[in-house]
Formats: sequence, C-alpha cells, structure tokens
Amino acid sequence: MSNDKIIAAWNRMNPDSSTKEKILQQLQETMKTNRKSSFTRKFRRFAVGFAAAVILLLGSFGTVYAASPAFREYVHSLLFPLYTSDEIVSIENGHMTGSFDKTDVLLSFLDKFNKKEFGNSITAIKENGYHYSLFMQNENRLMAFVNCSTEGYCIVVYMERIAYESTEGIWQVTGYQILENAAAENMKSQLEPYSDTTAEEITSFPQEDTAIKGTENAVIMYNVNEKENIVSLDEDDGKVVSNILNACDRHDDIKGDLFQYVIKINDISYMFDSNGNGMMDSAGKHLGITISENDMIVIRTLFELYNISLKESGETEPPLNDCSIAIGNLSLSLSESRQDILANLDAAGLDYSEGKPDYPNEAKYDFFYTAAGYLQIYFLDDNCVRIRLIDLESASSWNAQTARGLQPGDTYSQMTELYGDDFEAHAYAGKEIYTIYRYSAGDCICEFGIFGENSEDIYNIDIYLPSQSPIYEYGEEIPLR
Amino acid sequence: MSCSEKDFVSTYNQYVDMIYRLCFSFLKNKEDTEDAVQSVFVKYLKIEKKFENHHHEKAWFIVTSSNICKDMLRQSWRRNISVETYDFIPDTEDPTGNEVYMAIWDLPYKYKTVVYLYYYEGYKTHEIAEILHKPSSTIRNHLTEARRHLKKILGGNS
Repeated sequence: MSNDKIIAAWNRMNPDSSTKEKILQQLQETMKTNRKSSFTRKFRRFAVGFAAAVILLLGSFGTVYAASPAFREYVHSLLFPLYTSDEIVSIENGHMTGSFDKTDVLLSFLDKFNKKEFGNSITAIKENGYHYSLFMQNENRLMAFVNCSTEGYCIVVYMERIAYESTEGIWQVTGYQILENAAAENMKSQLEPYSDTTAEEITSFPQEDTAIKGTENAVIMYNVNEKENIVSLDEDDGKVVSNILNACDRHDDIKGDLFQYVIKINDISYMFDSNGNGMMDSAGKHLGITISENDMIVIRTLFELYNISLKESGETEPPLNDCSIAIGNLSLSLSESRQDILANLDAAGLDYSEGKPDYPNEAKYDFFYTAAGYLQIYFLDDNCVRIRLIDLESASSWNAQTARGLQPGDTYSQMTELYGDDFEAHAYAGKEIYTIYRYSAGDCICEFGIFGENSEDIYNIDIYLPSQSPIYEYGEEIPLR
Repeated sequence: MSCSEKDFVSTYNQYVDMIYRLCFSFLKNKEDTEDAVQSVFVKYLKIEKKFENHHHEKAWFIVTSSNICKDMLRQSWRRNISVETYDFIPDTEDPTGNEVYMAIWDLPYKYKTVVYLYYYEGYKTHEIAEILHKPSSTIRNHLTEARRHLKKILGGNS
C-alpha cells in the first residue's frame, strides 16, 4: 500500500463544488443574520430601557406613584430574557420557540427572581404554581401582580411585547417593582384585567383517554394507563416518540410507574408519571432527557392548572448507576441475570458468542460472552458480576460507555473529570507497562487501564462487583511514575 | 471573530476541503459532514482569539473538526446509524483504491486524525504531537497501531 493510494483515498472524500458553494451560502446567511440581530438587539435594548425609564419618569402610573405612601422601591429596569444572536437565528429558523408566550416569559422570570439572580431580597410565592393576576396597559404592555413572601407586599412585573419580524412579537420583562398591596390595588383599578381570548378554557381534569386542548401552545394532554394508548398514536407521533427515545444519552434502570401523562408540545411528546418524573419509555424505563426550558414552562403550567405536583428535574434526578454501561439505548448492569442480559443483546441486535477462557482469570466464571468485538460480560451463578469494554477495533462499532460517559479511547483527563481524583493507581510491568486506576463507586468497582508509559488513552474499562477482585493476574507491580 | 466577509470567504476556500475530508472520514455521510463543516466555520466566526500564524490557524481547524465529529458521533441517536446511510464513493479507475478507502474508514477514531496528518498533510510526528497536544510517543504509537490495523485489513500489502 503506497502513500499515493492513501492520499488518493483521502482525495476521494473531497467535497464537490456545489457542496462547497451550498455550505458557504449558509454561512454567509448566518453572518448576515448575526450582524442584523446584533444591531436590532442593541437598538431594542436601548428602546426598551428607555421606555422603562419613561414609564417611571412620566408616570403612566405617575399619579399612583405620587399619591401612594407605599411607594417603596423604584422600578428596576432590566431586559429578560436576553437573546444571543444565535438564539435569534434559531427563533427565526423555527428551531426555538422564543418567548412568544407571555406566560412562558413571566414564569421563567419568576423562577430566576426566586433564585435571587436580580439581587432581590424577597421571593414570589410558589405553591402549586405562582399566584398572579395580569393587567394590561395596552395590547403590548402588561403588568403581572404576583404574591410574594413578604406579607402586605406584592411583586409587580412589567412586560412588553417587542415586534419581531413577521411574528406576533417576543415578550420580555422590562422591569419589576415591590409594592405594598394597597398601592397595587390602586394601580389595578386604573388598568384593564387581561384575558387571553385565544386560549381554550380548561375547566375539568382530564378523564382517562381524554384528549384536551391546552393553551395557545397547542398542548395536548393524554391520561394514559395502558401501553395500547401509546400504540394508538398516529404514525407521525410514533416517529416523534421514537426519535425522542433514540435521542437519549443514557437511561437508568429504574422501574417506576408507567407514565400516565403524555404531553405534546410543538409536535414533541413528553411523558411523565404521576409524580411528574419524566420521561418513561413504553417499557417503563426512565430516560434522562433534557427538556427545553420553554417546553418545561408549558408542562409546569399545565400541571399547576390540574394541581399535579411536579418535582423539578434536579430533585428527581436518579443517582448515577455506576454499575452499568450503556450502548445506545441498551443498558447492561451488574447483578442482572444472564437471561435478561442476553435477551437485551438480542433485542438490540448485537451479535454475541460464548467465550472460552483464554486466561486463568476467566476460568472462574460460569459463563462469559463476547459481544460486538469489544464487550465482554461475565456471569457467576447466572448473574452478571463483571462487564469489560476494550478499545474499539472498528470505527463502525457502537460506542459503549460507562454510566458517566467514559469509553475506551478516552483520556486520563476525561476520566478524572468524570470520576474525580479519588482513585487507587497501580502500575504493572506486563508485556508492556500499564497503569490501572481503580474507583470505588457505590456497589461496584470501576477500573480503567492505560497501556504504555506515556499514553493517556484508556484502553480497558472494567466494571465489577467487589467480590470479584482481583479480576486479573496483574503481574509485577512497579513504582508509579 | 470580527472578519470581513471577503476574508472569511478566503479562509473558507483555503480550509474547506481539508475540513470536509476529515469530517467525512469520521461521519461517513454527506449530510452529517456538511453539518459538521458548517459547525466548524460557525465556531471560527465566533472565536475571539487571533491566530499567531497560518499553522496555528490550520491546527485549530484540524482539532476543532475532529472534536466536533467526535461529539456528533457520541450522541446516542447516531449509534443506530445504518451502513445504508454511508456515502461510499467508489474508485472506478482503481478498484484496489476502494480497499484503502474502506480501510481508512474503518480506522478507529483516535488514529484517523493522526493518519490524515501524517500521510496526507505530510506532518512529522512531533508536529502532529504539537497540533493534537499529545506526547510524541503517543503519536508514534498511534501511527504504529494504525499501520498494523491497515495492514491487517489490507492483507499485508504495505
């Protein structure tokens, strides 16, 4: 094989001129949009900031301010949310919904407010959702009066809708104020209560198998108890669900309740159990998917409407199961039965074969299997006691990884980033020098092997039950370098 | 990075073939490769730092392309990609060239960039080590392993 052949092979991977032209055009569009958005955003920020100052100075509510002895704080001007130029591009291209809904904007703002990100000292009350009432100054300016933690006071949130391209406009919070309730009531009396005439009214809790229309975001909620109801989704929905499942980076082996609620937002289905834990697949496995902030706001709103408590994802995030590895949507765990693991391999279409012990350390197992060329699974008393990943031999293989996302071929730095520095390290002189890094991870041991004196690349990963230690005849231990 | 459109187009034309080749060898289909190439140049548009020289800029493109491809490949939805989505480009003039092509495709990820830089771009091992921020010995090991791998696939024609 000559170098010329290698060069020729790479040359065949060159792009043709139409492809290059196409990519360049897309990039030039991106450059134009970035420039335009930057200018528009700066102008808009100035305009809104100015408007907020004008409200204060000219006092559209000036009479109230002047007359009220309870005017305690000035309006704090700000702009929320702030969009980066990329986000504006995404909104424009339809990849993001932006803040076309005032409720989204308000609730997001209140969440951040409660995290004290604006230097405030009080919080908005959140019990089954925030308690607020909306009043309008005009169709593009609203005020939300929000119950707060300090008795006798409320938070007034000023919101403005900014015209944006051919959309209905993007809502932003332009300021907030802490006001005594008496002053707030005075203010409200001079304003029109806001009613959203576009939303269909939700008057009752959904019955089983009942589909309801939600807000103007076209949220559809199903109460589902049987798998058959999911199967009955139409083909497009089924594809969406399938795409979501395929998009999971990891899933934990939690057998919780079957999901009861399927919420469809912008053509994507989200599934939750009765505690608001999302998401579940049809087999009842919990999938750790990140839901976009805007979609989460809609979900939260719906759950609040129906008095369903929704735990924040941070509270319900299950602990990492270090005793497992993931290959695509497949998860294999220590202590799983041989029957279950082989069934999962079959279902995933992974070829496997029973191994014959080549090394003394393999003879102690009842069975071991090699799958896909890089995965070895060891069983004792029909339960998995050890899983081994070795460096990929072919780039077309599936990328197996540990629960924390480490895989053969990753580096020492990536290992410490994911697992920390609390490891045991041992160097041995085998055919070549290799170093083992061993972590105690809950119910199991995670062991990473790096070959060679100067290599940083992980060649070998073993996850095993402590009872299996030692898993190799390591050879002569030598001082660590 | 604030650069004029003219400068950007010039940079684009200078590097697009290299980036596309590298990404295609990782991702194996045109659609994903176009996405990856676009991502690389979008990142280029956003970075604030200035490059010391042409070599520094080129190294940046190589490393960024490689990292973007690896990130794309790590997403689990990609793990189920069927070989039917691969865009294999046959060599109609020299069929043996197809074997080399497939051998490169089948190289493990960590060897691909090293092989590309050594054989195609003509860098020395210490230069590759500098570009990829790895020890020279690691690069030499990778090249050795890559050659062994290619030899195994191509049946000893070296």
